[in-house]
Parts: sequence; structure tokens; C-alpha cells
Amino acid sequence: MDEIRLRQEKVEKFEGFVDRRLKPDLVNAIAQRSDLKRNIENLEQNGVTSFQSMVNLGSEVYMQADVPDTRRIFVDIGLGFHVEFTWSEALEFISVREARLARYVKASESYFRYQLNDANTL
Amino acid sequence: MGDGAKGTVTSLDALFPAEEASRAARRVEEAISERRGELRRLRGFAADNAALVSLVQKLPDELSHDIMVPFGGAAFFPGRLIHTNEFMVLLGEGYYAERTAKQTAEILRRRGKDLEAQIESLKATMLDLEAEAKFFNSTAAEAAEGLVEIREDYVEENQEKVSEPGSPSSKHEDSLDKPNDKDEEYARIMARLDELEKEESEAESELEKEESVAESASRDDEEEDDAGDVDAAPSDEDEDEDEVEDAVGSDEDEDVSEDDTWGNKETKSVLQKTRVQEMLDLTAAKPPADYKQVHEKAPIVETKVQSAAKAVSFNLDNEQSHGQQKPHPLPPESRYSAQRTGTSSQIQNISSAGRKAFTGSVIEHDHCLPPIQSPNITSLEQPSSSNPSKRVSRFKMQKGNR
Repeated sequence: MDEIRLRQEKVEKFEGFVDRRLKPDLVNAIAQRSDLKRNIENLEQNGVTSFQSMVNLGSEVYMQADVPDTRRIFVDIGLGFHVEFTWSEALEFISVREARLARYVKASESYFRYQLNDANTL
Repeated sequence: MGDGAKGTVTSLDALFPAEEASRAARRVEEAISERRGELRRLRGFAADNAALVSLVQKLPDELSHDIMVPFGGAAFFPGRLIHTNEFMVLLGEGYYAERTAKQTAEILRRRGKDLEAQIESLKATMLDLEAEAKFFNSTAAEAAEGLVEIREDYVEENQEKVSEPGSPSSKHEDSLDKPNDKDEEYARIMARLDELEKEESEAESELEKEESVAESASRDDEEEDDAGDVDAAPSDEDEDEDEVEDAVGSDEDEDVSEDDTWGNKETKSVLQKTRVQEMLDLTAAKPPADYKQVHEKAPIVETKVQSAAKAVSFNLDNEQSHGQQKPHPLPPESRYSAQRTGTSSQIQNISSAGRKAFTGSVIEHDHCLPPIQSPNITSLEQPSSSNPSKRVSRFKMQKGNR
């Protein structure tokens, strides 16, 4: 019986850990993706070809930057890679990405719940 | 250990329980690690700042730079940096300042200095914490080893410092010894006194001889100053003792016995000093009525200037208090050496305080007074001499004769 309880506690601990650390990251990534998606859609809608922005050089020191051609976008696909996309490709990619992330989140949730039930039943 | 002495044996364990000490040490260590983290962060900031300063200075070299312009958090646009001499610096609270490269560099340098100051103060705090941690750790280790702190109060037997009903965490035995402490202590002190007196007498014997000769020779100030009463001392002792006994309360009993030993010799022993202090403690309780008599007490230890460090005449206090201080390097004096020098007077004061118990005769002796003042002395001494029972030193009487 003690062993069961111990395992249960362990599972709970892991679950909590994952929830606390990994979930927020996931959520963050998802949010980013959605933001990006929205922005790209915005750009497309407004037919923006070039724009200017302020670039953070570090320690909140900004400098003007000019984007002459917005047709090409480099999207971070993870593992430190950025792929050159056109708008439509980028949008597509982003939606795919988003779906995957959502599925991942759900999966982890159910996984941990399963573990918990497992421990309880034992 | 503390045999007879009222001492406290405190195991460090009690004062600083090992566990608590180690806990405190751990806490301090945690604080230290926190500070270290802070320090690392600050150092990182300082490094970033330095890098930024160099970047800001390099950018204006070109009209524009080709860069990847970030878009949101996960995408880039190829683009260019333009207006390379215009920087927007965040001042805080949503306020920005548009500055040139040089001005921006200055701002950044000032920030860097600020960071350095912070780092320094943090380092200082860490040092303090580390010292604290070391102390705690060592204490914990010592306590674990069972180190014991033994504190013994210098107490006269009479003064029952009952406050130590067994030192709180002391080792048992102390409390057991409490009832016997007094006796033991007394015996101990007596033994010590005897030894010291012996030593002293030996050393002083010669001096005394000389002095006694001188005394008999003349009644000069010197005599007064000298311990002319060496001869008188012994005989007076008895009287003194009596007085002592009478005057002294029960507590003084021990002192009396001590006086016996003392009176015999002119104690120059260091012990006397201690004794004096003891006496002081004792007498402190008694009304310092014996101002004058003090010097009558046999064991007045006139502290000679030379022996300033040593014997203290208990009785001398009074004399000293009278301010009769002859800066004579007095040889071993008799108690009547009122002419103790200033230093001796101080000591005498102490001793006399101890002897104060003897209410006995109040003899006013201006022993320290120079011969010129002898008339005064005589007048003063006469009343004293009128008390034969009182241990009026022959010396005094002699003085009175002057």
C-alpha cells in the first residue's frame, strides 16, 4: 500500500512539474504562433509591402529599421531553423503548427490524468 | 573545575544548540547563494551594457546595415537598419529619449557605473554573510563536539550568588557543589594567601628590617610613610582581628581569618589585590564606616608605589581617601603607612573598602601628611590613640607624640 502511495505521489509531482513548466511554454508558443498568424493576415489584408519598425539593439535601445519587401518571411520552425516562406506558405505553416501544439497540449493533459488514475486505482 | 567557585559550566551545546546553529548556518548559506545569483545577474547586465556601448559606437559607421528584422517572436523579415545615428533609449516608465550615438553611449556608461556600484555593495553583503556562516558553522561543530564554556565568577565565599542555581545547562556537578563551595573557596583562598604572604614576607623581610631601623631612628615623614608599623603590626593584628570580628558581620568572618594571616605580613602579594577586591565586595555591603579605621586593620596592605600592582591595604583606603598621599615609593608598609602614595592610595581604597567592616575605632590619621602638618596629625590622631583597645598603631601613637 505504501508503495502505491509513493508512486501516486511521484506521479502527482511529475504532473505538477510538467504542468507548471512545460505547459506555459506550450501556451506561449501557441500564443506566438497565433499572433504571428494574425499579423501576417493583417499584412496580407492591407497589402503592405514595406514597413518600418524599431529594432531592439539590447537593453531597450532602439533603432529604426526598414523592411523594403515583405513578401519573404523567415519563420522559426524550431531547433534553431528559420525557413523562408512566402506569405501564404507561412500562414499555412503556422496553422499546421498551431494544430500540432494544441494536440500536444491535450495529449499531455490526458496522459497525466491517466497516470493519476492509474496510481489511484492501484 | 569550579570547585568551590561559583562558576557556570555551560556546554556550548546549550547556548548554541548544535541543530540551531547548523540551521542558522544553512539559512545564512541560502542567503549567500541568493546573493550570488543576484551577483551573477548583475554581472551579466554589466557585460551586456559594455557590449551595447561598443555596438552603439560602431553602428554609425555605416549608413545602413542589412539585418533580419524580427517580426513578432518567431519570424524575421530581411531588412535594413536605417538612421544609424539615431537611437531611442528607454528612460523608464514608458519614456524614451531619442539620442545620437555619442549621447547614447554616455547614457549607457552611466548605467554601467550604477551597476558596478550595485555589484560592489552586493559583494560586501555577501562577505558579511559568509563570515556569519563561518561562525555558525564553527559553533555548530564545537557544540557537536561537546565543547563547554566554563565561566567562573570571582565571588567571595560570602556572597552566595545563588543566581546560579546550577548554571542552566551546566553540568550537574556544579549545583551539587554549591553548599560546599563556600568552604572550599574559603580554604582555597586561605591557602593562597598563606603562600603569598610567605613569599612576600621573605622578600620584604629585608626591607622591613631597614625600615624598622629607620622608624626607631626618627619620627619623620619617612617613618610615616614607611611601614613603620611593621613591628606594631603583629600586635595590632590581634586587636584588629578583634575589631574585625566585631565589626565584620558573619560574612566577614572569613575575612577576619584572612586578616590574621595578613596582618602578620605585609602582604605585597598580588593575591592581596584579589583579596582586596574580595574584601571590596564584602565590604561593599558594609557601611563604609571604617573610613578611618581602615588603616588600623592589621592587614592593611599599603601598596607601595612599587608594589602598586600588588598588595592592597584594605585599611589604607581610608587613609587614602583622606587624600593623604605622599608620592613616596613606600617600602612595604605597615598598615599605618598612611603615606601611601597615590597609587597605593588607590589600591588602599580598594583594600580599605574590604576592611571597612571593622567598625572599630575610627582613627583619623593623616599619615600622609608631611611633618609640617604633624600638629594636625597629632590632633587627629589623639582621639584615635585614646582608644587603646583599638589597634592604634604604635606608629600613630608616635605620631601623636609629635
